[in-house]
Amino acid sequence: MAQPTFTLPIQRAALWSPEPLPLSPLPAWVDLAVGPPELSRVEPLLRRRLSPLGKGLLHVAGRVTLDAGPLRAVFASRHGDPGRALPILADIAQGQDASPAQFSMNVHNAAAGIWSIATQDRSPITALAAGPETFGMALLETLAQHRATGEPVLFVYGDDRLPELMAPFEADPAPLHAVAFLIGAPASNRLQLRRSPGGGAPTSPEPQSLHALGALAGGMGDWGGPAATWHWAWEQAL
Amino acid sequence: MKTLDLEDTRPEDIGDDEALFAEGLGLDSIDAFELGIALKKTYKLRLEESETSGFAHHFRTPATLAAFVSSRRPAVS
Repeated sequence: MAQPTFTLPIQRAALWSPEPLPLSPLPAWVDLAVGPPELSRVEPLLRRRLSPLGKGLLHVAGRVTLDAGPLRAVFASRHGDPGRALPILADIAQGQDASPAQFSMNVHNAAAGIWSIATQDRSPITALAAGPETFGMALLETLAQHRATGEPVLFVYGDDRLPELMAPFEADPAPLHAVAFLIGAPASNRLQLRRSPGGGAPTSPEPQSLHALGALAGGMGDWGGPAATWHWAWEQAL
Repeated sequence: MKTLDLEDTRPEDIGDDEALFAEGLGLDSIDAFELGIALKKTYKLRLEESETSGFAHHFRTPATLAAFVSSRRPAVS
């Protein structure tokens, strides 16, 4: 059976991390930032509610959308912000009231909600988590929404290290980082996303997002990841 | 500042008689809950649900909040 391939039209791409990531140099069309996130579009009273991950997500979203106008969006993270849940659980365990601000942001669509408020954009947003293949599945979801609507769609992905209490359960710990693509025409780059069942190539234990970026940096190729159920690869589309 | 994550604001930026909510500093209803819980934890205040109608007045400015805390603080034995 032929392997399904999907052509991903990429208008813009951005990567952010507070510390340099262990990646080879990325193609010049990826907007790269290391250090404090740039969030001038988000007013301070909104910005203060964001976690370091949330700030990274909004930084890369801002870098690829610029003045694109209303946009559907897919916000994806494997783990989200589990660091918010622990203080809430600790308060409840001690019979104390939990923090309302932490509670209100302790949902997977929290950063997406702040993005929607900050940009005054009421377009539909999907918040997605799909285990170790969150990055690939969210790209597929973004492409599906682009194909269904014919409009550009914003893809935003990010993850952070798990809190110490949960860290032993994490096979492929991710340093804090966030990635965004604006998917749609007119594309400056086209990538083929190919997937086939049966798992990815054996690779070092890193999150799928860093495998995917590493493949981009290394001139394309496979980026399945050790726990992948599908085989994922980039190929430069003609 | 810490309870409400007011990262770009210093304590001296807020006047004693400045409105904390809405058109003043701009705090919202979640901040009101957050402040209430912080006061309960820090000063061991007992805030009863039957009194909530007065909270809008007590939480209006830093000065009204301080007066409220002073009047309600359990006596130190």
